[in-house]
Amino acid sequence: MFSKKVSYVTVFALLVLLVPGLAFAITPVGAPVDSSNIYGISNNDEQVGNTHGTEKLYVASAVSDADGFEVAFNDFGSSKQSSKEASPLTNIGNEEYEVSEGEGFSDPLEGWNRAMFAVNDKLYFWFMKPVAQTYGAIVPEPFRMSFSNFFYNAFTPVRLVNALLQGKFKKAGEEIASFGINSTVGILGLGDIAGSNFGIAPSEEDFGQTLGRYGIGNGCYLVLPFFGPSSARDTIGFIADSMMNPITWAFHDDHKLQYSVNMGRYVNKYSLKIGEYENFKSTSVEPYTALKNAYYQYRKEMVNK
Amino acid sequence: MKSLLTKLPAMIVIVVMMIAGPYAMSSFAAQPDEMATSVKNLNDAILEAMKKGKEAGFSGRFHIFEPVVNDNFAITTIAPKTVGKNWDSFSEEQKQLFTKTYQKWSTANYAGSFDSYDNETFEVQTDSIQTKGNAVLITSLMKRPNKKAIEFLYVLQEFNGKWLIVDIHTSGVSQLALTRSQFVDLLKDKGFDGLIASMNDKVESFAQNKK
Repeated sequence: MFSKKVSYVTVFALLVLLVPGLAFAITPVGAPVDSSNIYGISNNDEQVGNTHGTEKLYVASAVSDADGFEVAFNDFGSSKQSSKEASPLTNIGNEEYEVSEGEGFSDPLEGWNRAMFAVNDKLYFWFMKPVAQTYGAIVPEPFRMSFSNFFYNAFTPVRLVNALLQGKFKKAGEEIASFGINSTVGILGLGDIAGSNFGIAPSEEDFGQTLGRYGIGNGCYLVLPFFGPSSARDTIGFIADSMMNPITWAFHDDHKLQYSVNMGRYVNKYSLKIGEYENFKSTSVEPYTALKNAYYQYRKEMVNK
Repeated sequence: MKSLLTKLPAMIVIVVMMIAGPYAMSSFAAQPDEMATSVKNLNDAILEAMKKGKEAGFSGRFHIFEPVVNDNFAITTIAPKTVGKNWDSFSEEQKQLFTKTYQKWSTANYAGSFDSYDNETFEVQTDSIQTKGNAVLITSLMKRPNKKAIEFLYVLQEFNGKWLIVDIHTSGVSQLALTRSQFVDLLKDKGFDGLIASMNDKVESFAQNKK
């Protein structure tokens, strides 16, 4: 009897833990959506509460169209002009602006992926959204943002390890500095002093990116139940990051507590992101394809930047 | 002395060129503020629509965006790109119908998305414009109280002396590529009529929307 009850609790906790992985709302044309890590799974993505800095925009890279014309858009910065006087631009060339056609994930598991997409959609509307809305109505936003800062700070080891593995030493230094400042002056990471006073922008490094950086391709597209869009490579990365997850380590002998803390983290995060998925759906004529393409572009950019 | 007099006209020409050259050059070079006009116009429309919000309703916001989308986006250039190689197989009538529907769908997306105001402001960064080929890239920040600003990277090209928006990137995602992925799939699955019907359905759902 007891074990049955425990198993129900475990299933419930798992559901609550996993559902928020639906983090895949995307921005419709120009819509004001907080777009930090909204294209898929990540284990170290506590950025929604940060108020400093900006949502960075990066440009899809190395694209080519069917006619063979090729432009690498990830080097936009090479011709960047920066002048306080806004002087005339004289380096405008002749090459036509193009974006890739036909580039994207292979999708041999489309049947499974579409089914999981439908399941995740229902779970969001029937379960996650009401839970996050209720939580948001009870807990004031400044508190929720502080909690988000706390988890972002706590996940520093995951980002730090991945930054180092990718040879991003400056970013690794910023992670250490940010962790030091926010854990002390920021009171256990609840405040983001590193961002607001020292201009250290939040970052996002995960093992999927690290693998990509090492030249490992995406593999096929994979929609994970509850977690949302991913790829074969990013799923492996996600598992590796989960092992580095400080919550996993801190509560390794108490799984129920581990799930509860993760549940709290996800519910808190989604209470700050409600509406993004709805915007994505309302502006997409083919939401499944839109999500797959957005996730592809986003991850490609994350690997290249 | 004679030699100096002989060279005088040439010297005058050189001096005049040195003085006037930069001015002449600048008249041909693109001015950042001019290039950003379309972005600013769109931002103004977004703010107006957000401020009028639900009071204006979807149709009111649609009317705000309609002329702005028409005048500041390179619709006739973007529309063919959103269907890729399929464009060549369209008849003239289909091309016209698709372009018109695409324009309506784009406008509806804006009218449906920007329906409430929370003290947002825009900052167009004309002092850090990038170029790539014949396009310029202009960042526009949407600043929100107590939240991170959102960066939109606008891609613009010059058409008859006017810089028009051809794509928008958010978080590395090209909206043009994103749209094309959907349209191409719909064309493959449902054909031309199915694509047009899906776009019209979206516009209709915005019109009847809860928003």
